[in-house]
Amino acid sequence: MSFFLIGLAAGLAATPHCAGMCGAFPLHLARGSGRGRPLARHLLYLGGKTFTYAFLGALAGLSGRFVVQSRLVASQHLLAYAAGAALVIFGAAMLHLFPSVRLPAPGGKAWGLLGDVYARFLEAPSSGAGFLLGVGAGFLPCPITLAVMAAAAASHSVALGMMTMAGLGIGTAPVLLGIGFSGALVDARVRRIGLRAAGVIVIALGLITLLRPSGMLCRVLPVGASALHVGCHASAQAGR
Amino acid sequence: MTSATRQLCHHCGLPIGAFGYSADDAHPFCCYGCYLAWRIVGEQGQAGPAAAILARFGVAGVLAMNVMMISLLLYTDPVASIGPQAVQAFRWGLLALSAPVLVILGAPIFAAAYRDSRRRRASMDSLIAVGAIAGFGISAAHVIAGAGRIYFDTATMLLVLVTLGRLLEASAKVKAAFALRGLLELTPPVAHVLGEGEEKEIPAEQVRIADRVRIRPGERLPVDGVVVAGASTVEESALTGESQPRAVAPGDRVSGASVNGEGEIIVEATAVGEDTLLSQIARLVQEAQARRAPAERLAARAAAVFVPVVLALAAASLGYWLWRGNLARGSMSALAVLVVACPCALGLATPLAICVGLARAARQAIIIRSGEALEGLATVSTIFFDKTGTLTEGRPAVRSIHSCDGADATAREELRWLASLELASEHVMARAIVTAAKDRGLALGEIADFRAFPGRGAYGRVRLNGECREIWAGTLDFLAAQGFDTACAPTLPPPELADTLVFAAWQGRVRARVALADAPRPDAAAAIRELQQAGLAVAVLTGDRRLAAEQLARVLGAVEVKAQCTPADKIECVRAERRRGRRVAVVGDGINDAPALAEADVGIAMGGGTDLAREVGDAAILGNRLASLPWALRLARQTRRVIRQNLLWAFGYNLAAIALAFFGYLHPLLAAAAMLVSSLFVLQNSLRLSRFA
Repeated sequence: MSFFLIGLAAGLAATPHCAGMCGAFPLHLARGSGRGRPLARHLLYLGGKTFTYAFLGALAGLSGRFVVQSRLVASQHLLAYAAGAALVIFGAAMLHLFPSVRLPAPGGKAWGLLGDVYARFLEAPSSGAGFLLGVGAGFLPCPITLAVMAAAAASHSVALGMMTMAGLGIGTAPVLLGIGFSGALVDARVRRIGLRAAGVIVIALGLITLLRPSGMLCRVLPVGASALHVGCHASAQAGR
Repeated sequence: MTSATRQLCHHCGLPIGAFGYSADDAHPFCCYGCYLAWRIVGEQGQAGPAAAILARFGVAGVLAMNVMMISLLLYTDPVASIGPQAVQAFRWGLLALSAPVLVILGAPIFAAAYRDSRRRRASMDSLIAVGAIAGFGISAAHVIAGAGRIYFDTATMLLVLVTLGRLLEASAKVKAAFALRGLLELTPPVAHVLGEGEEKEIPAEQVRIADRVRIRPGERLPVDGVVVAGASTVEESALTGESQPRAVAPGDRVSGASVNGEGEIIVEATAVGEDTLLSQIARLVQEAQARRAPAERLAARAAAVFVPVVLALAAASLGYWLWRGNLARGSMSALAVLVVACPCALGLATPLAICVGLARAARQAIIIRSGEALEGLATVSTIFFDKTGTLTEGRPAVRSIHSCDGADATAREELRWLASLELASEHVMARAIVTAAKDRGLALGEIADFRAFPGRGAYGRVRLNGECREIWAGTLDFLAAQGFDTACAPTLPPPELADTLVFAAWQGRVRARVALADAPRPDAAAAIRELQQAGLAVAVLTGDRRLAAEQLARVLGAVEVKAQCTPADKIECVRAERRRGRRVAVVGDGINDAPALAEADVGIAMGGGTDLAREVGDAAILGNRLASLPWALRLARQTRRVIRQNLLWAFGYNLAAIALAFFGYLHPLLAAAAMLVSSLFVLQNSLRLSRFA
């Protein structure tokens, strides 16, 4: 459950980021004259996105499991330390704390090549297309997704990985539903805040991943951490 | 030069290689990906079939993702935790989810593989079909039997990844061909034609020869033509690579797709539609792309044996593990061998890089007529330049006229006779002499029986003032060889070192000397220095006298000079250099230097452009920019590097990956992903050339 909650918390915290980056999708669905009721369309879109997240979570969990099982790292905690440290550095780079590091622009080259095909999905927002749109949107390169995938990998379990990422999908649902029904896109100022918020979330996820196995989180953040079930049962989890 | 031209793909416009795909004969495609991409995005206004294909692809993708997630859970979580009955239920579920994927995504691939097998050849489709069907078949049998490993995830993800990879490939190819298409789109769709007092706007392709077209400031020219009224500047960077605008006035030639400057001009059309220079350029590049390059033939030969070899290896791997008594590992490794082999990287390695390289050159106003020429350019070690018009401006002007009799009045009279002879010649020197005579207000005579001795001189019978003389003109050696008395030549005042000298002779002796000056091009010295720095031996071949050629060589910076060359001498120079094992490029004017250009490994025509089709040469540099030459050399070398990297990668990847798979060290699922990454590497590496600067 704790991994699901990590994903859910990250998703909720990512609200301003999602509003800025992904708000256009629910708006498009709301505007479309396709078949099906609007609520169904939005829920199918979110379902598709969460489905893809779970798929990515399964892959991340499998990778983590592979790394641990093949003894590529000396102890399974080392994977969590590495993933956590990478997330903290990544988040700091997003906040421009390392001026010399330039992160690649969102939307990789391969995505650019598929852009024409993807654009066709946007043309016919029927209910089914809404689901497929969500499936496709889940694959969009996003720092939050990558960060939660790293946390999922640290679970070194396919099932837990899926849970973590499904939590993310559900956590981002309120804001996207809100935008879909209010029909308003956030302005550029909120978008800038969103970008910065993403950096903070990534660092926070990194710290949680980093501190979780050692149980240090309970000492640093006794109330919040135990509420999220993160870290305090670390020894029990690690022993599994 | 090879002329084995191939059909071009209906979607990306690139030549169709060994692994073509055709839904019907009217629409050939270079691969299934291009066909799919064309169905999805290419058919504008036909949303129906596009949406259907996308929906099918989407459904299959979601099903495959489900298969994968359930499979991963079954792999990793202990069977004991959910119980063997639940596991068996999940296995049946996987079978049900996988079957539609196999039908939806597999059908076109299986059909293509079946067609290939009926033609007794094996393609990449054969590998995928065998891999997917084997993976599904083994798994289905194990589900029914209630025991044994299942590979539904491999079978379905393989199809998803292959389809995805082909879509990406198709997009990459469209990008490669885009440079060329972008060039053609420069011609505006409409033209404003003037007729009987009114102006009509008509489609550009309906303009007829000799129509008068009004070009307003800032407009692109829809046709090639001659300015008949108005004055302006035109910017011709699309055609010549030169971004500095050129001033034009009535009588000047202008080309379609160049941009008019501040003035309004009226242009009389001389070429429209397919016949414009721009269309010729695009056609030549397309023809070049459709020719097979030598390196490509090697890859094609390798690809032809590749698929049967992989099939045999997969069978051998299965046999090896069966012999070791491990059926599970045997089926897994055979499957991995089938899936990981990537003939697509092999087949794409050369043609895509060459197509991108040729298109990139065209954007810089360099027309390379074949992939072979592009490869040849990369290996050139000696480069011969023609002098006049190539290293010099090609607009010689008469600097002095000296008569052997010493009097100015005689010199004018002798210029009249000489210029009357030169009226019949097309040579730039001849035209300069005629211009000099006309500038001095001299009336010229009539010329008959004109004969040119290329690189040496000319002869003709000139009738002037009721008198008829046999006039000879040319170099001093040439006239001496004709038996003329040349004693007067050394007594004349010494000419400027760089001047080109033309002597005129009649009635037994040399009569006069005309000195012409032709300024070196401003960018010649820099271009030659760059070529030398790139390790090339640079030499000048010219029919001009030694002193003039040497003076030019000094100005341009220490290059070897072979002066007083006849066209035959030039050919001999090229041959001698090639006999020494050097790869020779000759740079000259595509019409006058045609024989030497044809003799070279790579003949490069400079400064042409009005009639590309008539010119010889393996490459043409439009717009006289010598700086383009070292650039083209760098592009050619970079293209060769990219091809080598691609081939090295393709061979190396296949060798290593197949070996790993053979011995069972590679899960088929990872193999499918590796195969996709391998073709993407080749695609991206080749596309880098389109950004070459």
